[in-house]
Amino acid sequence: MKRYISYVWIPVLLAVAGMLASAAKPHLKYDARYRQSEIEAAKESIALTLMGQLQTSMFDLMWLKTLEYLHHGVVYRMPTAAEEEKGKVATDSIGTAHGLEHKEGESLVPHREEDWRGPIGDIHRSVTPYSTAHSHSDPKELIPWYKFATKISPSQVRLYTMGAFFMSDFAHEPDEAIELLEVGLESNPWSFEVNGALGRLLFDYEQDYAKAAEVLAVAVEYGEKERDYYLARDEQFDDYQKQVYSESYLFLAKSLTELGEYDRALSVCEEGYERTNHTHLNVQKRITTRRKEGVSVNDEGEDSSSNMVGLLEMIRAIENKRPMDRILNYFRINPDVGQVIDPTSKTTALHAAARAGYLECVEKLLEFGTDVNMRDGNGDTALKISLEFGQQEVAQLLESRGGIVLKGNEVLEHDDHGAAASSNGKDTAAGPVAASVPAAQLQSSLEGEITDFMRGISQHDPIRQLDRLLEKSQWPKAVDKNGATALHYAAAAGYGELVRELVKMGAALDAKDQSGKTALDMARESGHEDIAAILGQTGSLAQSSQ
Amino acid sequence: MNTTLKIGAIARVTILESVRRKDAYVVLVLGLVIMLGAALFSSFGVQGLEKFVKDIALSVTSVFASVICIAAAARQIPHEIENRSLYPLIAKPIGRSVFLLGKFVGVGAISSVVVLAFCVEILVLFLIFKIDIGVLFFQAVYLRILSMWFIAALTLAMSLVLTHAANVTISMLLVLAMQTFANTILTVHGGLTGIPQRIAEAIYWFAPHLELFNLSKLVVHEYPPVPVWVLAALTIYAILYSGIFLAAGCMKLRRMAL
Repeated sequence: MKRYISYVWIPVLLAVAGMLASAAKPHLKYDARYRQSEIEAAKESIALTLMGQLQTSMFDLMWLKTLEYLHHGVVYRMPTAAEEEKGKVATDSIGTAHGLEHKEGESLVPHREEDWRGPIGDIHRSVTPYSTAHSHSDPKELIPWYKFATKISPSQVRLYTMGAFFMSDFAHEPDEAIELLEVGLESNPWSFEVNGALGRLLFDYEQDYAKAAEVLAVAVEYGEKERDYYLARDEQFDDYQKQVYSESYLFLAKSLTELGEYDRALSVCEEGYERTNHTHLNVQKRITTRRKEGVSVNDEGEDSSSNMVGLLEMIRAIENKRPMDRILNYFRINPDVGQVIDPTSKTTALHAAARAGYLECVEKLLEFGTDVNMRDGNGDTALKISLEFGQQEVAQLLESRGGIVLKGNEVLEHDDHGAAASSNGKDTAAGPVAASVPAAQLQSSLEGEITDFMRGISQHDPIRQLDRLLEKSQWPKAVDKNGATALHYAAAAGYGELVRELVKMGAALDAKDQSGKTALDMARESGHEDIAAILGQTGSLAQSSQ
Repeated sequence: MNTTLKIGAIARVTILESVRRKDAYVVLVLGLVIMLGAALFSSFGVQGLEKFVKDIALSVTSVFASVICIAAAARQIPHEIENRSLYPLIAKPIGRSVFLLGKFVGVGAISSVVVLAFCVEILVLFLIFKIDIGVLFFQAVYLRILSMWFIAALTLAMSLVLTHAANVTISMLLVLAMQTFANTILTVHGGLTGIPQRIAEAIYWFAPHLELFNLSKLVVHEYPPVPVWVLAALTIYAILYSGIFLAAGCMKLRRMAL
């Protein structure tokens, strides 16, 4: 019995230790960054040095794991000094998310042509992740490693901001991102980077302008202190710090404007511009001034600098396929943002969305009144861009909304793979949908209203074409220059309702185009078995009635 | 009693001894730790968790199965000598080579069971997290079991020339650090010329490449299955190397003055 009683003390002691730890925790909070003198003092302590080394090693391990996940498990290495002497160099990575920029090294497992191990090398390449090309995985997969790394090294502020960036913009988990940054603030309340990132998220996702303004004011205050500290040490902010610092001012001004605190917002714009030279702050100042005077941004529609507000950020957000609610924020701030061309990249929001294949965004932009055939700085339409970048779904959507392929001052047609073909100078454009079906050749000689009708079918617009059909009784029997009828088009495109209507209106089932194909042949070749069944059944009935 | 039966009898005793020493129970406890750990990971609530869970589970299996195999193999012969239980065995009509082969089969079998037990736990874990299991996973299990036999041969052979502590340390290093070692040779090879380069190559060829039996990363990052010829080649490689280690071990044991 005595033996068991002694064990009772263990939970009691644990409970007391826990209570002491919770009581001590608030007093152990450190609200300023460790300074060099403190770091030097810590180096004198063997225990602290060992713990620090262990922490650094664990952090390095986490970072290696993050890179491993980024590269689908393929391990890369930098060229050795001897290899560099032979002319091997590491190039910068391309297309990597902000914060993960890195040099592209050599694959650790040698390529076959360079491998001295013969068959063992082949086995090695088969049993370990290996790739001849440097590619990156979905950054969402890196998130657990970021979370782990912040647990191991809570003072690495960049981990919180980068982790939050991936969570909000790639995993579409803004709440988790905000939570991570709040945890980061507990360990690093002095960090303007964490405060700035949190304020930005609160502005973008929560639309909690009061809280965003509060946090961003702290970011600006600590950013200033940090900048002074750097200047005193004859050092400078890196690019990311500069960006966060200037954007903290910008979004503080935006938040205050939204809250109706115009005077304070204007003073933030002035102060921020003075300290960061961020040109958007001047533009924001004009917007805030107009809001203060009760003038809508739209009322002065020709002010291009106002229209430019948020455009670059919006384009960047679209290119990275950020969540739609975040992109829509740019519209809320500036409703004209979808109508302007960025002079630097010569692109528009619609073109960026078309290039990125961001279908939902293209839909929203069109819904918000963006002209489907607006041209970018090079004179290209979004449809042309979507085809050039192989974004077939976007191309189909744009075509269905009346989009045409235009490049510069020319009007182009395109082949069935979406590649731009030669110019014919006519104001017509063939649809990729029709071109992707066996009736591709039918597209080349369409003319007049009837051809427009047929083209409409191939542009995935059957409902509108059906309405038009009901008004024009002669159309089912009309043929184009290649001998194809509307039934050929409807069968190839797979529109059952239109096929039925055409048959009902007397379209000839046995009509053959120049290549000798009937509508039934077209349906079968295009894989529309349901249409083939309708046509086959109708044909049999017709034959039996005869 | 023919040789096969004699080997089987010694292997059976080895397995029973391992069971009595509760080595196998360690697997269950570690498996439980993996499960609890994975349950905690679910708090991340983000995509990419599947890969993370696979990575942790396979790494734990790899490390702990190797540790159990090395620990079991390293203690066999020193333990028999220390307890003087080797003498009555050898006094019976059992050759020293048969004795070593019996130990090899026993350690190989118990290690394979350990790997399989881990795999069952991993399968349960994957089921909980709805993680797909493909052919590659079973290929990885096969190669892991093969590597256990390889490690058993290597450690048993080294137990005849090294002290118990040294054997465990070196075997652990060979098993756990072989990948780093091989990678280092591959990295520096390009920068070397002449004799140093030849020496690096010789070291590479001589070293047992246990890292080739680890398909964990392929499984984690969802690569396609490994070609059959690779599995066949690795099976031959493992048999050859194990054969060499066992032959060397038999020769040493025969010459040992007991």
